[in-house]
Amino acid sequence: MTQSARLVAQGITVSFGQRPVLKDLDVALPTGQLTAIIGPNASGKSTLLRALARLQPVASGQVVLDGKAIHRQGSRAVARKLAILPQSPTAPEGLSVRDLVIRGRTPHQSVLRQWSGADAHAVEQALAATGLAALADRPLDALSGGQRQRAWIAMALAQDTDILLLDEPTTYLDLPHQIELLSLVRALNRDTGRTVATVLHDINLAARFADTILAVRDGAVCLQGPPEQVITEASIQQVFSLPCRVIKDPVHGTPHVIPL
Amino acid sequence: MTVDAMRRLPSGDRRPVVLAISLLALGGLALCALRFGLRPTGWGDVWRAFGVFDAGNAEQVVIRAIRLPRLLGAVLAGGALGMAGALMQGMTRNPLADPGLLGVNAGASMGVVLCILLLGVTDPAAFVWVSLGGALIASLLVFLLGGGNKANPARLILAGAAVSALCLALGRAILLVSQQTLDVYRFWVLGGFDGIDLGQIRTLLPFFGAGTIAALAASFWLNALMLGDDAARGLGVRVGAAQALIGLAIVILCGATVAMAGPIAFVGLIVPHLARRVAGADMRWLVLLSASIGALLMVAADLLGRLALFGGNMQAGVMAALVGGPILIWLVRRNGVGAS
Repeated sequence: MTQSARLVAQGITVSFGQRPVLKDLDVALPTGQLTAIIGPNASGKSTLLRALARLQPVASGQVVLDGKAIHRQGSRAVARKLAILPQSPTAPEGLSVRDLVIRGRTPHQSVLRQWSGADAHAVEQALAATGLAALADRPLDALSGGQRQRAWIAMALAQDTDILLLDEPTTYLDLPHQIELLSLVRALNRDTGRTVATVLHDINLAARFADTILAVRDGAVCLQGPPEQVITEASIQQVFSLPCRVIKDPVHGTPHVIPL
Repeated sequence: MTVDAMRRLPSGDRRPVVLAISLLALGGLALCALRFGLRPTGWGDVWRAFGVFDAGNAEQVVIRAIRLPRLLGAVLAGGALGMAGALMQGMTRNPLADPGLLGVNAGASMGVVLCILLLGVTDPAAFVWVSLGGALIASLLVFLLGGGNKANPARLILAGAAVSALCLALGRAILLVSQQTLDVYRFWVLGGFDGIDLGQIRTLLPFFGAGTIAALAASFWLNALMLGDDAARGLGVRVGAAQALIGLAIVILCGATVAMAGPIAFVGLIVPHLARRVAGADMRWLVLLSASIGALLMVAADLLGRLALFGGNMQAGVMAALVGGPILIWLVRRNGVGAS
């Protein structure tokens, strides 16, 4: 929050029917950093990410992108600044990796102007950055889970935005693929200075890869800061109601949670 | 052999080739549709009918006044049903969706039945506006019942089924008690291009044009919509507006078709499946190829119907189902259906 944040939630409240999911929540995504949003199930962390990406209408308060309320900006203009990978996107059968990535260019195209050199360049770059260039012509349904998730991230990359939001990108992946995917996400953040926020379930992976931890409980942000400061035995107890011991990861030096 | 050679190319290269082939085939078939019919005519008559037209020559008059409108009608109807079917299957993500599911056909039928019963109209040319009106009213009703601006494809299909059933039941009840209505309606409902004239086509041309433009524009947004509503929104697509445009395109295309030729089943269901084998998951190609293949199938069905019975004149709608049925079975057996 030291740098001026480009994406800010100001007192947002979201309710599903009677149940309030986010309550008067304030948060700012640190620019240029990799932020991991953690919290127990039904804490509102995915809803927060969706609200930040203007996928979730807010009942009160507002999300501000670059100093202007996000719902007052055209959806296409927002999509050129901010990309989101939702939790369970669907792909039509037989869609190739390249055709999926090309769809990331939608906000840069129009009905009358559907393809440009900039599009081709962004698509090839996104394929290269995710290591999918060799698989570009394969149908998505012929890929492994990890490759498929990388293809979706490549689509979001082709959107060529400064801000990238990911909703539980590691779900359904085994541990090696989770590590591979988060390494990729961190490289994307480090190499281009992109602001990245991702919802994660695994506290230890969040601590290892993220610059900032954002912990959500009962629809409110209860902690925000670097993993070393924020992840403590007391805070994990507070956020997850989980008694634990926190040690220093002997390899990476980051906090490591051992549930008791 | 040619087909095998084409399969080896990446599918991106196959699409323009297939589009060109289908358009060429359509052109050839169109010439045959002008050349062959009940009255024997030669290629020279076709040539002269458009080159140095002689209004006193019966052969040339038949070609210009009867076969040409019929051909244009078949091209427009087949193309429109193909595009509408592709949009419908894409929007609902259901490969078995038929454009008639939005209540368009049932509404048009109801309009025609009421028009015959209440106004005593028997001239098919007058059915154009009542069936178009019936189609629009029914689809509006489907939209409102389906939840208005909160509508989603699943609710729309349910509402469409309900409205269709209601319209058809009411229509049948009327037909049961009114023999006179049945006699006129029976002919219209089979679907075909008998007695169609250029004036009818001219009346409906703006609808076909607007529907085609809407369909091609919508296909661009549909590509993003196929990734799910959230992903499409994330890509900057206004999902509600895009779905409204798609629905509008379907209603206009089907409404104009049913107004011109009566309800024609099967073409809207089957043509996108044929096109999908080439177009893959790109909706823009799917819509284009469905238009050309739909027109091809419809012209072929109409021509076959006219020639097969030696003047007996089988309705194109019946013929399309007769030809389409085996094609669908062939597709299912080759595991082609469901590959959406």
